[in-house]
Amino acid sequence: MTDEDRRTGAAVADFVRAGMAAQLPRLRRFALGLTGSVEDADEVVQAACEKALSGAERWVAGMRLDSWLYRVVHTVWLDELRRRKRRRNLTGLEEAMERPSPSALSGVEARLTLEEVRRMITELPSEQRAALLLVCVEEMSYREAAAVLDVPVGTVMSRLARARAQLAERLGKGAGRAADGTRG
Amino acid sequence: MARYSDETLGAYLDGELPAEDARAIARAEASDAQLRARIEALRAVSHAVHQSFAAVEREPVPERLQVAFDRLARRANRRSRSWPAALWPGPRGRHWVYGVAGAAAAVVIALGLGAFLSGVVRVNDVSLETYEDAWIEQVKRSYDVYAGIYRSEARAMVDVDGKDAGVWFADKLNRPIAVPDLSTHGLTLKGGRLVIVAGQPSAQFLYVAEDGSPFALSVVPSAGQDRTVVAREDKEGAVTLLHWRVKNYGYALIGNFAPEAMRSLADEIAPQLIPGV
Repeated sequence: MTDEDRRTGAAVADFVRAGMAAQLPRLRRFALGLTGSVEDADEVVQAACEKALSGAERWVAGMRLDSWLYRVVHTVWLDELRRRKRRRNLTGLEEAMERPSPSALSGVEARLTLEEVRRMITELPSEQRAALLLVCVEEMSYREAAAVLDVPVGTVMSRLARARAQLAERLGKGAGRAADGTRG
Repeated sequence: MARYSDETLGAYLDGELPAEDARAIARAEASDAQLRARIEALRAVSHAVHQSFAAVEREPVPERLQVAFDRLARRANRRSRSWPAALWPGPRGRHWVYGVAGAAAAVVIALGLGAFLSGVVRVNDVSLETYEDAWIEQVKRSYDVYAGIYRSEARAMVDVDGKDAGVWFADKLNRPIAVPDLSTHGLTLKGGRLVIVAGQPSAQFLYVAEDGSPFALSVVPSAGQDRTVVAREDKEGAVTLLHWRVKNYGYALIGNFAPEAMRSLADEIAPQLIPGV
């Protein structure tokens, strides 16, 4: 490795470190949406920080740094989900994902607190949840969200549509279109 | 009712449709009550989702996470310091000239800061002793990100536009914040970013100089005795950082200015930074 290589690598490491420090609140918000728990979110962000800081060279200049950081957080959470499933040691959250929610069973409530909306989001399948959070909360374009999730733009669109339809149904707005079969 | 899929309506709400398609849906929405209700339901979902997480970003990063991040960053910093000069050598690095800052003074200042913050938020002793260095470090980190992105993409990464910055930061920091007009000094305000320091919110206003170089002014609620300007100069680079404290606010300027020019700028603009003056 030449001095120039080392200098470039170090500059990248500095850039990633500074970017991560500035993005910490947003990464934590994304992780909270994914995990549904403050404790899990902080664990995921911490693990993501470790992964990103120790592998800063994997970030390629030209790629949006924040997109890459969101991708690291998402990957860490998916790894954690797989690990939990392997151990058959599902958390309350994951168990909740596999059974109908109390709100779905007891009918739609007229007024929902923001906490309840958050809970509904955590009850969505994880891939729909991630797409919804990136677009509706992190305000990414479909292309940016697709880059984070490493899927085609069309996949982001369909995941978003399913997530919105489910939430709309639960929010009692009557916009579920699953059985409609209409196409644009 | 016009037949549009949820994908199409979602893309319409997210501004992802071609203009012509979006106009067609807007026309249909105006005349079709059923479609309008369906779009409204999806819009309500987007709004609820956004709102349910809107406040999280403004929450202080938990102390435990911040400490863990700082530890990881320091470790990564040590690993990456086996190569030649970087812009920021880290706290107390060999290239920075510290003015009057000393360990004893830092403790006194931190105690004063703690007394002030105790009415706002609970801060433990560890944070107090490291607060000022943590802030300066964060100023540098945030500037690095801003400058790096601005230089490569000519895009200012801001949370709020310049015209809204004063009101927005006053709300976030829960106290008046003056946003100086530095246009007479050739600096154009691009907006502001909320920067979390030791779990507390602070403001960073982002400017661009006439030669296109990034410049930033950081403001953090502070306390204790006023403090004269302290300079930290990068001997090998062109970046200068000055910081000082007056009337319960800490200020820092950072940018590609020669130390003398930066000091002169600080002397000139310091009075207009104090809210209400």
